[in-house]
Amino acid sequence: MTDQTPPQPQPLDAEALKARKRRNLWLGLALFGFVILVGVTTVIRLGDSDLGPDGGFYWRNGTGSETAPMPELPGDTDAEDSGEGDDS
Amino acid sequence: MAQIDASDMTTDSVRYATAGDYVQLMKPRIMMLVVFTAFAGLVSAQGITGVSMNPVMAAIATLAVALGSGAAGAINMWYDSDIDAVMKRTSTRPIPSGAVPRDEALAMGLIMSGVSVLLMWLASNVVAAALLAVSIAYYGWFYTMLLKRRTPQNIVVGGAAGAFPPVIGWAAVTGSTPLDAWLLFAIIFFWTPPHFWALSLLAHGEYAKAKVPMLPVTHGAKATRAHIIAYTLLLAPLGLAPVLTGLGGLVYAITASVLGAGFLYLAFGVWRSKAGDAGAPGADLKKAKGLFAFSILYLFVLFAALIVEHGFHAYIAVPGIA
Repeated sequence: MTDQTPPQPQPLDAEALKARKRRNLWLGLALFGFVILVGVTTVIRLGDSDLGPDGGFYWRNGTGSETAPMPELPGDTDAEDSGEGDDS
Repeated sequence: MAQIDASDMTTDSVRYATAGDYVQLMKPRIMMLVVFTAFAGLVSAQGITGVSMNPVMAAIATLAVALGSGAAGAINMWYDSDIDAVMKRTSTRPIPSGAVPRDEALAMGLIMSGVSVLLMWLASNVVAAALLAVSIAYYGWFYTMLLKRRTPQNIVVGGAAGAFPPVIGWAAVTGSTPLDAWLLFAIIFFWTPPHFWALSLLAHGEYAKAKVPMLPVTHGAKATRAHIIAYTLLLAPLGLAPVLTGLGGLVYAITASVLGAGFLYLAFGVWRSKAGDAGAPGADLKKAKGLFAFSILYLFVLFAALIVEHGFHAYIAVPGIA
């Protein structure tokens, strides 16, 4: 086995370092822009979704549990109204 | 696949890439036309169907089309860097000039392809995203890698890549691609050959040097001029077809008639000229140049008429057409 030193990278001159810094800046900005765009589309999609009072986007599962009447609580004067008119 | 010796592509002096070089990789002039026609499809779909797209989502979908076009352009420049180095017109592009390494252009094209399709999906629907993916693959792989160096019909078949944008724009709004969307596709499809062949009449020497089998190189200038007039004879009436389906109103009908007549007039001029022949007079070359310039104007104004009608409530139905 020979005792060879691995090839060392050439040091970059000032112009090359400047060009690399500029490229990195643009890449960073592009990445940031992409993240912003994904965020904006997500917010708009969620905003357009039916996030109603019956469970909404995350926990509606179509089992019919959202149509079940609310339990009657002692002293609740509006108990008769609860559970009505919400059959979506 | 035939690849040209690229040994003369290397330059002695080191040139560091600027942001402008990366913009050039995306073929910005083609991108402008692509974005404009996609936007026309998007606006027309809203006007015809009454479906309204969130303006921010519409802007992001348009941006996705621009990125997709840029991605396909970067892949094209990566693959064609050897012939770009041979032709004078393209020798100053970022890769042959040594500003951008080939691998970097390919990486940029592939990453932007993924980003554009993902953004389109997020901003609109899977149909538009799939169409965008197909159009990128069509240009970047099917046209660039399979057709361009193999057949003189390269730009006829490959023209479909540039015809997808209005269909993508339409699908972004409705999630479907009805006949009206495909009519816009057909207009660009039949517009592409006379547009490119007018340019190739002027630059066939360069294509021959790069061994690209463009029609004037393989079949001569006379056959190319005949093909130009044949495709223009198809394009002019096709430009009026949207009037029959109700997509185009009175403004569009008048615009398409005037532009179609102008296109035919200039194409006849080229047909009767000696443009592309050896020793052709300067006046004949000017006719080919004039047709090339007019063809760009034709597409811009035709699609602008649709945007005016459907985006600015200027639609007036053509009398006698339901």
